[in-house]
Amino acid sequence: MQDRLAVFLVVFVCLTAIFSSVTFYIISPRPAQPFMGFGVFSHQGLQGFVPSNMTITPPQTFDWNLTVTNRTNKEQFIMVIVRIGNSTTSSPNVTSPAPTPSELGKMQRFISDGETSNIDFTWTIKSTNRTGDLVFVNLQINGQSVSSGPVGAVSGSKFRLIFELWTFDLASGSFQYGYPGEISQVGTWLQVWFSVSG
Amino acid sequence: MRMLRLRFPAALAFLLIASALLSSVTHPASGQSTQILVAKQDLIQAFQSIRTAEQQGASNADLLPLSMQLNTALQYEESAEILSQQGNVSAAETSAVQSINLSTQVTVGAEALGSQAKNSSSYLTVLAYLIAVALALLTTVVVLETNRIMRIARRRRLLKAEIDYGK
Repeated sequence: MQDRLAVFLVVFVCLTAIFSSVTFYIISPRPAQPFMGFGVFSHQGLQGFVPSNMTITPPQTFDWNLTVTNRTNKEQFIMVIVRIGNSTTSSPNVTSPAPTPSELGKMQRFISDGETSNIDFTWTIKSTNRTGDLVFVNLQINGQSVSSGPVGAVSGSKFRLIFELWTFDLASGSFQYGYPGEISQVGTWLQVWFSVSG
Repeated sequence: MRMLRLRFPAALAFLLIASALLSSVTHPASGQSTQILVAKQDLIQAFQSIRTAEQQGASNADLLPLSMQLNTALQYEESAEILSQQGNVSAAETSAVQSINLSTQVTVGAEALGSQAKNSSSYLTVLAYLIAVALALLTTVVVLETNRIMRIARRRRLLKAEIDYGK
């Protein structure tokens, strides 16, 4: 009788361990690599896709969409910083953003996990200023007038709009460049080159 | 002496008028900036509440409307800042207050969703493990007692069978 009880207990404990493991596997959230997608599109989709090298004759207006996708498994408070640069301006990279004097504006949004947010980006090159060899542009971004100064380009050279993705870090209470990856922040940025004629 | 008596009330009246003017100029400006600061803080607090609700197990579908509401609060806060820069103090204050109200609603909603999710998820976890233990018990009985169960079934079948006397 005691043997039967011992066998029963052994089998029961083993099966409990097996079924509990299966339950743990089923109810545990699936592991997923966190990432955030970032894109610049025009309203017309592929028909009017954002060309990489544009020549703009002021005044000219563009209606673009900044698309940010959140797959980090948590709500994100994001900020897109728009900067202007030329061919000699240092670019952002995976760890650090571009230098600050070139900032033109910023846009903020809250994005739930698994959602994609479309941020309107309407910009106009209104006019140009020439100081010596350098050309500066006067822009309007989402209704706000800004100047490219101190960033200028030699006549005939190109400018570029740089878009950087920043996310709010609750621990530090401030926006950090990039998004929280598995180990550290992952810097994300885009750029669109253009030249100004006239 | 008489001159002094006349000057004192005049000086007092001048001081009173000056202080009233100063307070009317400075008070709304400082109040307005305080409201915008509060609106910013409340946005962050609401964001933190959503994060906490996520950790407690609230689903994305439940939290999505709160996130949308928080974006509206952010728009109000941004327009409050723009209006303040333009010098439209009262409109800026109104926008900031709307932002604060929305952020507060989001915080309350997120906290409610979080505690709901926490309770239901711990209940479901306990239920899942209880089912696992019950299944383990059932399987143990089936594995160890198969022979006895088969024997009982066979005996019942025999008892039910009609006796053929071989007419």
